[in-house]
Amino acid sequence: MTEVFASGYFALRPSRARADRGEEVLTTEEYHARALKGLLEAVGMTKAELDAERYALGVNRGLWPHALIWTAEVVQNLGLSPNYTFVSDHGGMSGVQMLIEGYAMIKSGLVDHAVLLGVDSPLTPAKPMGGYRLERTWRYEINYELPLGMVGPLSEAAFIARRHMHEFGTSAEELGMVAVSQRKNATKNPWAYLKQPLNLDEYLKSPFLAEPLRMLDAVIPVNGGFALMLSSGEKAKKITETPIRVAGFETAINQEATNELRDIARMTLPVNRLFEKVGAKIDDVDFFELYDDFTVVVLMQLEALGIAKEGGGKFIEKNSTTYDGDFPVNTGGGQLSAGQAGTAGGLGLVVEAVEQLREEAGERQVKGCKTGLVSGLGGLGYNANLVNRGLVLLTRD
Amino acid sequence: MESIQKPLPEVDSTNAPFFESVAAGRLAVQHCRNCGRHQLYPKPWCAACGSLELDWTDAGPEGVVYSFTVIRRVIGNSKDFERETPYAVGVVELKEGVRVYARLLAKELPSISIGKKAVFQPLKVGEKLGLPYFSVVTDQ
Repeated sequence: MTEVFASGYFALRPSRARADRGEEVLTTEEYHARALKGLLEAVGMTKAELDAERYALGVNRGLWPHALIWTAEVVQNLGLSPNYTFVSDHGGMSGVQMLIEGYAMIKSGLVDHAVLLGVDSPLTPAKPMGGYRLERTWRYEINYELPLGMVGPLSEAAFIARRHMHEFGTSAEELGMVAVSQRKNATKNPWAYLKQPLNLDEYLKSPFLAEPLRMLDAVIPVNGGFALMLSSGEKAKKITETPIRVAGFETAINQEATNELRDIARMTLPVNRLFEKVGAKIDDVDFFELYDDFTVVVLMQLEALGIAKEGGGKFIEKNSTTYDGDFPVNTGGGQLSAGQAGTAGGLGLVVEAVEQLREEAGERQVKGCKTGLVSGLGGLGYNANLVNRGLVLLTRD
Repeated sequence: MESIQKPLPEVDSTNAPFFESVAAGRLAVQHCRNCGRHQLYPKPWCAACGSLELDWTDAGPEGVVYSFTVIRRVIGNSKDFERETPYAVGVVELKEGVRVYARLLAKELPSISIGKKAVFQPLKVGEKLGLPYFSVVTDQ
Protein backbone atom coordinates (compact mmCIF):
# COMPACT_ATOMS: atom_id res chain seq x y z
CA MET A 1 0.00 0.00 0.00
CA THR A 2 1.09 3.51 -0.72
CA GLU A 3 2.31 5.92 1.88
CA VAL A 4 0.41 9.20 2.15
CA PHE A 5 2.11 12.58 1.81
CA ALA A 6 1.24 16.24 2.14
CA SER A 7 2.01 17.39 -1.39
CA GLY A 8 1.01 21.07 -1.19
CA TYR A 9 -0.42 23.71 1.09
CA PHE A 10 -1.75 27.25 1.13
CA ALA A 11 -2.57 29.77 3.85
CA LEU A 12 -4.98 32.70 3.49
CA ARG A 13 -4.30 36.08 5.03
CA PRO A 14 -6.41 36.36 8.21
CA SER A 15 -8.87 39.23 8.55
CA ARG A 16 -11.03 40.67 11.31
CA ALA A 17 -13.32 41.90 8.53
CA ARG A 18 -12.59 45.50 9.43
CA ALA A 19 -13.33 47.28 6.16
CA ASP A 20 -12.48 50.57 7.92
CA ARG A 21 -8.92 49.30 8.31
CA GLY A 22 -8.71 48.08 4.75
CA GLU A 23 -9.24 44.44 5.70
CA GLU A 24 -10.98 41.93 3.47
CA VAL A 25 -14.62 41.16 4.21
CA LEU A 26 -15.26 37.76 2.64
CA THR A 27 -17.73 34.93 3.07
CA THR A 28 -16.87 31.30 3.66
CA GLU A 29 -17.74 30.60 0.02
CA GLU A 30 -15.29 33.25 -1.17
CA TYR A 31 -12.62 31.84 1.10
CA HIS A 32 -13.20 28.38 -0.37
CA ALA A 33 -12.48 29.75 -3.85
CA ARG A 34 -9.37 31.62 -2.73
CA ALA A 35 -8.04 28.68 -0.74
CA LEU A 36 -8.46 26.33 -3.69
CA LYS A 37 -6.88 28.82 -6.09
CA GLY A 38 -3.85 29.17 -3.82
CA LEU A 39 -3.53 25.42 -3.43
CA LEU A 40 -3.76 24.74 -7.16
CA GLU A 41 -1.02 27.30 -7.80
CA ALA A 42 1.09 25.72 -5.07
CA VAL A 43 0.85 22.24 -6.59
CA GLY A 44 1.08 23.48 -10.17
CA MET A 45 -2.27 22.16 -11.31
CA THR A 46 -5.17 23.76 -13.12
CA LYS A 47 -8.71 23.17 -11.97
CA ALA A 48 -9.26 20.97 -15.03
CA GLU A 49 -6.16 18.92 -14.23
CA LEU A 50 -7.39 18.39 -10.66
CA ASP A 51 -10.76 17.23 -11.94
CA ALA A 52 -9.02 14.71 -14.20
CA GLU A 53 -7.52 13.07 -11.08
CA ARG A 54 -9.20 10.65 -8.67
CA TYR A 55 -9.64 12.81 -5.59
CA ALA A 56 -11.73 13.53 -2.53
CA LEU A 57 -12.76 16.98 -1.31
CA GLY A 58 -12.94 17.53 2.43
CA VAL A 59 -14.31 20.64 4.15
CA ASN A 60 -14.72 21.65 7.78
CA ARG A 61 -18.15 22.47 9.15
CA GLY A 62 -17.99 26.23 9.67
CA LEU A 63 -19.44 28.34 12.45
CA TRP A 64 -22.15 29.95 10.37
CA PRO A 65 -25.21 27.82 9.67
CA HIS A 66 -24.95 26.06 6.35
CA ALA A 67 -27.14 23.72 4.34
CA LEU A 68 -27.67 20.22 5.63
CA ILE A 69 -26.22 18.74 2.42
CA TRP A 70 -23.54 21.38 2.29
CA THR A 71 -20.91 19.69 0.13
CA ALA A 72 -23.44 19.60 -2.73
CA GLU A 73 -23.43 23.39 -2.61
CA VAL A 74 -19.65 23.69 -2.20
CA VAL A 75 -18.87 21.57 -5.27
CA GLN A 76 -21.37 23.61 -7.34
CA ASN A 77 -19.88 26.89 -6.13
CA LEU A 78 -16.41 25.70 -7.08
CA GLY A 79 -17.37 23.74 -10.19
CA LEU A 80 -15.59 20.62 -8.96
CA SER A 81 -16.34 16.97 -9.68
CA PRO A 82 -14.51 15.00 -6.98
CA ASN A 83 -14.98 11.26 -6.54
CA TYR A 84 -15.91 11.71 -2.88
CA THR A 85 -16.74 14.56 -0.52
CA PHE A 86 -16.78 14.71 3.26
CA VAL A 87 -17.38 17.20 6.06
CA SER A 88 -15.67 17.13 9.41
CA ASP A 89 -17.72 17.77 12.52
CA HIS A 90 -14.96 17.91 15.08
CA GLY A 91 -14.49 21.56 16.03
CA GLY A 92 -10.85 22.16 16.84
CA MET A 93 -10.00 18.61 15.77
CA SER A 94 -11.43 19.23 12.28
CA GLY A 95 -8.04 19.73 10.63
CA VAL A 96 -6.69 16.48 12.05
CA GLN A 97 -9.92 14.67 11.25
CA MET A 98 -9.93 15.84 7.61
CA LEU A 99 -6.35 14.66 7.30
CA ILE A 100 -7.31 11.25 8.70
CA GLU A 101 -10.29 10.85 6.36
CA GLY A 102 -8.24 11.91 3.35
CA TYR A 103 -5.43 9.58 4.42
CA ALA A 104 -7.80 6.61 4.71
CA MET A 105 -9.24 7.20 1.24
CA ILE A 106 -5.78 7.41 -0.35
CA LYS A 107 -4.38 4.50 1.65
CA SER A 108 -7.27 2.27 0.66
CA GLY A 109 -6.84 3.14 -3.00
CA LEU A 110 -10.18 4.93 -3.39
CA VAL A 111 -8.45 8.10 -4.56
CA ASP A 112 -4.98 9.44 -5.34
CA HIS A 113 -5.45 12.85 -3.71
CA ALA A 114 -7.44 14.54 -0.98
CA VAL A 115 -8.03 18.27 -1.22
CA LEU A 116 -8.73 19.67 2.25
CA LEU A 117 -10.25 23.13 2.45
CA GLY A 118 -10.35 24.44 6.00
CA VAL A 119 -11.85 27.91 5.96
CA ASP A 120 -14.24 29.84 8.15
CA SER A 121 -15.63 33.33 8.45
CA PRO A 122 -16.88 33.78 12.02
CA LEU A 123 -16.89 37.59 11.61
CA THR A 124 -18.81 37.65 8.33
CA PRO A 125 -21.41 38.09 6.93
CA ALA A 126 -23.54 39.71 9.59
CA LYS A 127 -23.22 39.71 13.37
CA PRO A 128 -19.66 39.42 14.58
CA MET A 129 -18.58 36.56 16.76
CA GLY A 130 -19.48 37.68 20.24
CA GLY A 131 -22.90 38.53 18.94
CA TYR A 132 -25.58 36.31 20.36
CA ARG A 133 -25.02 32.94 18.67
CA LEU A 134 -23.67 31.58 15.43
CA GLU A 135 -24.37 27.94 14.63
CA ARG A 136 -26.71 26.13 16.99
CA THR A 137 -24.67 24.84 19.87
CA TRP A 138 -24.84 21.71 21.98
CA ARG A 139 -28.05 20.85 23.84
CA TYR A 140 -26.04 20.70 27.05
CA GLU A 141 -24.83 24.24 26.51
CA ILE A 142 -28.33 25.49 25.64
CA ASN A 143 -29.91 23.75 28.63
CA TYR A 144 -27.35 23.75 31.42
CA GLU A 145 -24.88 26.54 30.64
CA LEU A 146 -26.35 29.52 28.78
CA PRO A 147 -29.36 30.01 31.13
CA LEU A 148 -26.87 30.42 33.98
CA GLY A 149 -25.05 33.21 32.16
CA MET A 150 -22.08 31.12 31.08
CA VAL A 151 -20.21 32.49 28.09
CA GLY A 152 -19.50 29.43 25.99
CA PRO A 153 -15.99 28.00 25.60
CA LEU A 154 -14.49 30.84 27.65
CA SER A 155 -16.34 29.86 30.79
CA GLU A 156 -15.70 26.14 30.31
CA ALA A 157 -11.99 26.86 29.82
CA ALA A 158 -12.05 29.10 32.89
CA PHE A 159 -13.28 26.15 35.00
CA ILE A 160 -10.36 24.11 33.64
CA ALA A 161 -7.80 26.86 34.24
CA ARG A 162 -9.01 27.49 37.80
CA ARG A 163 -8.73 23.78 38.51
CA HIS A 164 -5.27 23.63 36.90
CA MET A 165 -4.10 26.47 39.13
CA HIS A 166 -5.52 24.64 42.16
CA GLU A 167 -3.91 21.28 41.38
CA PHE A 168 -0.58 22.31 39.84
CA GLY A 169 -0.05 25.71 41.42
CA THR A 170 -0.07 27.23 37.95
CA SER A 171 0.25 31.01 38.09
CA ALA A 172 -1.10 33.78 35.90
CA GLU A 173 2.50 34.48 34.88
CA GLU A 174 2.93 30.89 33.67
CA LEU A 175 -0.22 31.13 31.55
CA GLY A 176 1.14 34.42 30.29
CA MET A 177 4.41 32.81 29.21
CA VAL A 178 2.46 30.68 26.72
CA ALA A 179 0.97 33.80 25.18
CA VAL A 180 4.28 35.68 25.20
CA SER A 181 6.28 32.81 23.70
CA GLN A 182 3.77 32.21 20.91
CA ARG A 183 3.66 35.92 20.15
CA LYS A 184 7.40 35.92 19.62
CA ASN A 185 6.88 33.21 17.01
CA ALA A 186 4.08 35.24 15.44
CA THR A 187 6.35 38.27 15.00
CA LYS A 188 8.21 36.19 12.39
CA ASN A 189 5.07 34.92 10.67
CA PRO A 190 3.87 37.26 7.93
CA TRP A 191 0.41 35.66 8.08
CA ALA A 192 -0.12 36.08 11.83
CA TYR A 193 -2.92 38.48 12.74
CA LEU A 194 -1.22 39.69 15.92
CA LYS A 195 2.43 40.45 15.19
CA GLN A 196 3.37 43.20 17.63
CA PRO A 197 5.73 41.95 20.37
CA LEU A 198 4.12 41.11 23.72
CA ASN A 199 5.69 41.05 27.19
CA LEU A 200 4.46 39.57 30.44
CA ASP A 201 3.45 42.93 31.93
CA GLU A 202 1.24 43.62 28.93
CA TYR A 203 -0.29 40.16 29.28
CA LEU A 204 -1.05 40.77 32.96
CA LYS A 205 -2.75 44.08 32.10
CA SER A 206 -5.00 42.34 29.59
CA PRO A 207 -8.60 42.49 30.91
CA PHE A 208 -10.27 39.52 32.56
CA LEU A 209 -13.06 37.98 30.48
CA ALA A 210 -13.91 35.00 32.67
CA GLU A 211 -11.55 34.82 35.64
CA PRO A 212 -8.91 33.50 35.80
CA LEU A 213 -8.80 33.91 32.00
CA ARG A 214 -7.74 37.17 30.44
CA MET A 215 -8.35 38.29 26.89
CA LEU A 216 -4.81 37.19 25.97
CA ASP A 217 -5.45 33.67 27.28
CA ALA A 218 -7.92 33.13 24.44
CA VAL A 219 -7.61 32.92 20.67
CA ILE A 220 -8.38 35.90 18.52
CA PRO A 221 -11.16 34.94 16.09
CA VAL A 222 -10.42 35.73 12.45
CA ASN A 223 -11.80 35.02 9.02
CA GLY A 224 -9.51 33.00 6.83
CA GLY A 225 -8.27 29.48 6.44
CA PHE A 226 -5.97 26.98 4.87
CA ALA A 227 -5.76 24.37 2.14
CA LEU A 228 -3.80 21.14 2.16
CA MET A 229 -3.37 18.49 -0.51
CA LEU A 230 -2.63 14.91 0.41
CA SER A 231 -1.39 12.56 -2.30
CA SER A 232 -0.25 8.99 -2.77
CA GLY A 233 3.51 8.44 -2.87
CA GLU A 234 3.76 8.22 -6.62
CA LYS A 235 1.59 11.28 -7.24
CA ALA A 236 3.21 13.35 -4.51
CA LYS A 237 6.65 12.91 -6.04
CA LYS A 238 5.36 14.38 -9.32
CA ILE A 239 4.04 17.43 -7.49
CA THR A 240 6.92 18.30 -5.20
CA GLU A 241 10.51 17.49 -4.36
CA THR A 242 9.69 17.77 -0.66
CA PRO A 243 6.65 15.61 0.07
CA ILE A 244 5.94 15.41 3.81
CA ARG A 245 4.93 11.94 4.95
CA VAL A 246 2.00 11.34 7.28
CA ALA A 247 3.91 8.99 9.58
CA GLY A 248 0.94 8.21 11.78
CA PHE A 249 -1.99 9.47 13.79
CA GLU A 250 -4.15 8.45 16.73
CA THR A 251 -7.34 9.84 18.19
CA ALA A 252 -9.03 9.54 21.57
CA ILE A 253 -12.72 10.43 21.69
CA ASN A 254 -14.59 11.09 24.95
CA GLN A 255 -12.04 9.54 27.26
CA GLU A 256 -13.25 8.75 30.80
CA ALA A 257 -16.79 8.63 29.41
CA THR A 258 -18.17 6.81 32.44
CA ASN A 259 -16.41 8.79 35.15
CA GLU A 260 -18.61 11.61 36.45
CA LEU A 261 -15.79 12.75 38.74
CA ARG A 262 -13.13 13.01 36.04
CA ASP A 263 -10.31 15.46 36.63
CA ILE A 264 -10.93 18.28 34.14
CA ALA A 265 -7.42 19.71 34.66
CA ARG A 266 -5.77 16.57 33.31
CA MET A 267 -5.80 15.46 29.72
CA THR A 268 -4.82 12.14 28.26
CA LEU A 269 -3.49 11.99 24.73
CA PRO A 270 -2.92 8.78 22.72
CA VAL A 271 0.78 9.52 22.57
CA ASN A 272 2.08 6.08 23.56
CA ARG A 273 -0.17 4.32 21.05
CA LEU A 274 1.01 6.68 18.32
CA PHE A 275 4.72 6.24 18.92
CA GLU A 276 4.45 2.47 19.35
CA LYS A 277 2.62 2.19 16.04
CA VAL A 278 5.03 4.45 14.20
CA GLY A 279 8.13 2.98 15.82
CA ALA A 280 9.46 6.34 16.96
CA LYS A 281 9.79 8.16 20.27
CA ILE A 282 8.83 11.59 21.46
CA ASP A 283 12.49 12.62 21.60
CA ASP A 284 12.50 12.35 17.80
CA VAL A 285 10.05 15.26 17.54
CA ASP A 286 11.75 18.52 16.55
CA PHE A 287 8.77 20.83 17.10
CA PHE A 288 5.19 20.71 18.36
CA GLU A 289 2.03 22.33 17.00
CA LEU A 290 -0.33 21.98 19.98
CA TYR A 291 -3.95 23.00 19.65
CA ASP A 292 -4.22 26.28 21.52
CA ASP A 293 -7.75 27.49 22.06
CA PHE A 294 -6.59 28.72 25.48
CA THR A 295 -3.16 29.09 27.11
CA VAL A 296 -3.90 26.50 29.81
CA VAL A 297 -4.68 23.86 27.18
CA VAL A 298 -1.12 24.10 25.84
CA LEU A 299 0.23 23.42 29.34
CA MET A 300 -2.10 20.44 29.76
CA GLN A 301 -0.84 18.92 26.52
CA LEU A 302 2.80 19.30 27.55
CA GLU A 303 1.83 17.31 30.65
CA ALA A 304 -0.17 14.75 28.66
CA LEU A 305 2.72 14.16 26.27
CA GLY A 306 4.90 13.26 29.25
CA ILE A 307 7.23 16.18 28.60
CA ALA A 308 6.28 18.44 31.52
CA LYS A 309 6.42 15.99 34.39
CA GLU A 310 6.39 18.69 37.09
CA GLY A 311 3.52 20.55 35.47
CA GLY A 312 3.22 22.61 32.31
CA GLY A 313 3.65 25.90 34.17
CA LYS A 314 6.99 24.92 35.68
CA PHE A 315 8.09 23.53 32.32
CA ILE A 316 7.42 26.73 30.42
CA GLU A 317 9.27 28.72 33.09
CA LYS A 318 12.39 26.61 32.62
CA ASN A 319 12.38 26.03 28.86
CA SER A 320 12.21 28.15 25.78
CA THR A 321 9.27 27.21 23.56
CA THR A 322 9.93 29.73 20.80
CA TYR A 323 10.84 28.62 17.26
CA ASP A 324 14.54 29.09 18.09
CA GLY A 325 14.29 27.62 21.59
CA ASP A 326 15.14 24.19 22.95
CA PHE A 327 11.53 23.08 22.67
CA PRO A 328 9.63 24.83 19.84
CA VAL A 329 5.85 25.00 20.34
CA ASN A 330 3.36 26.63 17.95
CA THR A 331 6.06 27.99 15.70
CA GLY A 332 3.75 30.25 13.68
CA GLY A 333 2.23 31.88 16.75
CA GLY A 334 -0.61 29.38 17.06
CA GLN A 335 -4.20 30.47 17.16
CA LEU A 336 -3.49 32.69 20.17
CA SER A 337 -1.51 35.07 17.95
CA ALA A 338 -1.96 34.01 14.33
CA GLY A 339 -5.73 33.94 14.81
CA GLN A 340 -8.40 31.25 14.91
CA ALA A 341 -10.31 30.89 11.68
CA GLY A 342 -13.28 29.24 13.39
CA THR A 343 -13.28 25.47 13.08
CA ALA A 344 -10.54 25.69 10.43
CA GLY A 345 -7.97 26.89 12.96
CA GLY A 346 -6.73 23.39 13.61
CA LEU A 347 -5.82 22.85 9.96
CA GLY A 348 -3.57 25.89 10.31
CA LEU A 349 -1.41 23.96 12.77
CA VAL A 350 -1.07 21.09 10.27
CA VAL A 351 -0.15 23.54 7.50
CA GLU A 352 2.42 25.25 9.74
CA ALA A 353 4.03 21.86 10.42
CA VAL A 354 4.20 21.05 6.70
CA GLU A 355 5.70 24.47 5.98
CA GLN A 356 8.34 23.92 8.70
CA LEU A 357 9.22 20.42 7.46
CA ARG A 358 9.63 21.74 3.90
CA GLU A 359 11.94 24.40 5.35
CA GLU A 360 9.77 27.12 3.89
CA ALA A 361 9.01 28.89 7.18
CA GLY A 362 11.35 31.82 6.59
CA GLU A 363 12.48 33.72 9.67
CA ARG A 364 10.67 31.38 12.05
CA GLN A 365 12.21 28.22 10.57
CA VAL A 366 13.09 25.50 13.09
CA LYS A 367 16.54 24.67 11.81
CA GLY A 368 17.11 21.17 10.51
CA CYS A 369 13.71 19.86 11.57
CA LYS A 370 12.63 16.45 10.29
CA THR A 371 9.66 15.51 12.48
CA GLY A 372 6.73 17.51 13.82
CA LEU A 373 3.84 16.54 16.08
CA VAL A 374 0.45 18.22 15.60
CA SER A 375 -2.56 17.97 17.88
CA GLY A 376 -6.20 18.76 17.27
CA LEU A 377 -8.65 19.21 20.12
CA GLY A 378 -12.34 19.93 19.78
CA GLY A 379 -15.54 20.12 21.75
CA LEU A 380 -15.41 21.49 25.29
CA GLY A 381 -17.63 19.11 27.20
CA TYR A 382 -19.91 19.38 30.21
CA ASN A 383 -17.84 18.66 33.30
CA ALA A 384 -14.99 17.62 31.01
CA ASN A 385 -12.26 19.18 28.96
CA LEU A 386 -11.81 18.45 25.25
CA VAL A 387 -13.98 15.61 23.93
CA ASN A 388 -12.19 15.13 20.57
CA ARG A 389 -8.43 14.64 20.77
CA GLY A 390 -6.14 13.73 17.91
CA LEU A 391 -2.41 13.58 17.20
CA VAL A 392 -0.64 13.50 13.83
CA LEU A 393 3.04 12.84 13.28
CA LEU A 394 4.56 14.33 10.12
CA THR A 395 8.03 13.53 8.78
CA ARG A 396 10.35 14.67 6.09
CA ASP A 397 12.11 11.52 4.92
CA MET B 1 -39.37 35.91 37.44
CA GLU B 2 -36.32 36.55 35.32
CA SER B 3 -36.49 38.58 32.14
CA ILE B 4 -37.52 36.55 29.11
CA GLN B 5 -34.65 38.13 27.20
CA LYS B 6 -32.36 35.57 28.77
CA PRO B 7 -32.08 32.14 27.20
CA LEU B 8 -34.11 29.40 28.85
CA PRO B 9 -33.51 25.66 28.67
CA GLU B 10 -35.26 23.61 25.98
CA VAL B 11 -37.30 21.27 28.08
CA ASP B 12 -37.77 17.77 26.66
CA SER B 13 -38.80 14.35 27.94
CA THR B 14 -35.28 13.55 29.12
CA ASN B 15 -34.62 16.67 31.17
CA ALA B 16 -38.13 17.77 32.28
CA PRO B 17 -37.91 16.04 35.70
CA PHE B 18 -34.65 17.89 36.40
CA PHE B 19 -36.02 21.36 35.66
CA GLU B 20 -39.35 20.57 37.36
CA SER B 21 -37.57 19.44 40.50
CA VAL B 22 -35.46 22.59 40.64
CA ALA B 23 -38.61 24.71 40.24
CA ALA B 24 -40.07 22.81 43.21
CA GLY B 25 -36.98 23.46 45.32
CA ARG B 26 -35.41 20.01 44.91
CA LEU B 27 -32.35 18.89 42.93
CA ALA B 28 -33.17 15.68 41.10
CA VAL B 29 -30.32 13.71 39.52
CA GLN B 30 -30.66 10.70 37.25
CA HIS B 31 -30.10 7.35 38.92
CA CYS B 32 -29.50 4.02 37.18
CA ARG B 33 -31.60 1.17 38.51
CA ASN B 34 -29.20 -1.35 37.01
CA CYS B 35 -25.77 -0.19 38.20
CA GLY B 36 -26.81 2.29 40.88
CA ARG B 37 -24.78 5.18 39.53
CA HIS B 38 -25.97 8.77 39.26
CA GLN B 39 -25.44 11.05 36.26
CA LEU B 40 -25.78 14.68 35.20
CA TYR B 41 -26.61 16.25 32.83
CA PRO B 42 -29.70 14.08 32.15
CA LYS B 43 -29.05 11.57 29.37
CA PRO B 44 -31.16 9.14 27.32
CA TRP B 45 -29.65 6.07 29.02
CA CYS B 46 -27.08 5.25 31.67
CA ALA B 47 -23.83 6.46 30.12
CA ALA B 48 -21.93 4.13 32.46
CA CYS B 49 -23.61 0.73 31.95
CA GLY B 50 -25.96 1.33 29.02
CA SER B 51 -29.19 0.58 30.87
CA LEU B 52 -32.43 2.31 29.87
CA GLU B 53 -33.80 1.82 33.38
CA LEU B 54 -33.34 5.28 34.82
CA ASP B 55 -35.18 7.01 37.62
CA TRP B 56 -34.53 10.13 39.71
CA THR B 57 -33.08 10.76 43.16
CA ASP B 58 -33.23 14.02 45.06
CA ALA B 59 -29.68 15.06 45.86
CA GLY B 60 -28.86 16.55 49.23
CA PRO B 61 -29.02 20.33 49.40
CA GLU B 62 -25.28 20.77 49.88
CA GLY B 63 -22.23 20.35 47.72
CA VAL B 64 -18.67 21.53 47.39
CA VAL B 65 -17.26 24.02 44.85
CA TYR B 66 -15.16 21.99 42.37
CA SER B 67 -14.31 24.93 40.10
CA PHE B 68 -15.71 28.33 39.21
CA THR B 69 -15.25 31.46 37.14
CA VAL B 70 -16.18 35.09 37.60
CA ILE B 71 -17.71 36.40 34.40
CA ARG B 72 -16.49 39.90 33.61
CA ARG B 73 -17.53 40.19 30.00
CA VAL B 74 -20.55 38.62 28.33
CA ILE B 75 -19.55 37.03 25.04
CA GLY B 76 -21.76 34.62 23.14
CA ASN B 77 -24.74 34.98 25.43
CA SER B 78 -27.63 37.39 25.97
CA LYS B 79 -26.57 40.98 26.58
CA ASP B 80 -29.13 40.91 29.40
CA PHE B 81 -26.48 39.29 31.57
CA GLU B 82 -24.30 42.40 31.30
CA ARG B 83 -26.40 44.11 33.98
CA GLU B 84 -25.28 41.42 36.42
CA THR B 85 -21.52 41.40 35.82
CA PRO B 86 -19.42 40.48 37.60
CA TYR B 87 -21.11 37.23 38.60
CA ALA B 88 -19.91 33.72 39.40
CA VAL B 89 -20.80 30.40 37.81
CA GLY B 90 -19.27 27.19 38.93
CA VAL B 91 -19.25 23.43 39.18
CA VAL B 92 -20.67 21.99 42.39
CA GLU B 93 -19.77 18.44 43.37
CA LEU B 94 -22.58 16.56 45.11
CA LYS B 95 -22.43 13.65 47.54
CA GLU B 96 -24.16 11.50 44.93
CA GLY B 97 -20.93 11.50 42.90
CA VAL B 98 -22.00 13.93 40.19
CA ARG B 99 -21.29 17.56 39.45
CA VAL B 100 -23.79 20.24 38.49
CA TYR B 101 -23.14 23.56 36.77
CA ALA B 102 -24.71 26.37 38.78
CA ARG B 103 -24.81 30.05 39.38
CA LEU B 104 -22.83 30.75 42.55
CA LEU B 105 -24.07 33.40 44.96
CA ALA B 106 -21.82 35.00 47.57
CA LYS B 107 -21.77 38.29 49.44
CA GLU B 108 -18.22 38.87 48.21
CA LEU B 109 -17.21 37.15 44.97
CA PRO B 110 -13.47 37.03 45.88
CA SER B 111 -14.36 34.91 48.92
CA ILE B 112 -15.42 32.01 46.65
CA SER B 113 -12.77 29.31 46.39
CA ILE B 114 -12.44 25.67 45.43
CA GLY B 115 -13.55 23.36 48.25
CA LYS B 116 -16.03 25.77 49.86
CA LYS B 117 -19.42 24.43 50.87
CA ALA B 118 -22.33 25.47 48.63
CA VAL B 119 -26.01 25.28 49.56
CA PHE B 120 -28.71 24.74 46.94
CA GLN B 121 -30.79 27.89 46.48
CA PRO B 122 -32.75 27.37 43.25
CA LEU B 123 -34.16 30.13 41.10
CA LYS B 124 -37.67 29.55 39.80
CA VAL B 125 -38.10 31.00 36.31
CA GLY B 126 -41.31 29.22 35.29
CA GLU B 127 -44.05 26.98 36.65
CA LYS B 128 -42.02 23.86 35.89
CA LEU B 129 -38.68 25.46 35.22
CA GLY B 130 -36.00 26.18 37.76
CA LEU B 131 -32.29 26.93 37.42
CA PRO B 132 -29.63 25.54 39.77
CA TYR B 133 -28.23 28.35 41.91
CA PHE B 134 -26.09 27.70 44.99
CA SER B 135 -25.13 30.00 47.81
CA VAL B 136 -21.46 29.62 48.74
CA VAL B 137 -20.77 29.43 52.46
CA THR B 138 -17.82 31.77 52.80
CA ASP B 139 -17.59 32.19 56.59
CA GLN B 140 -16.60 28.59 57.28
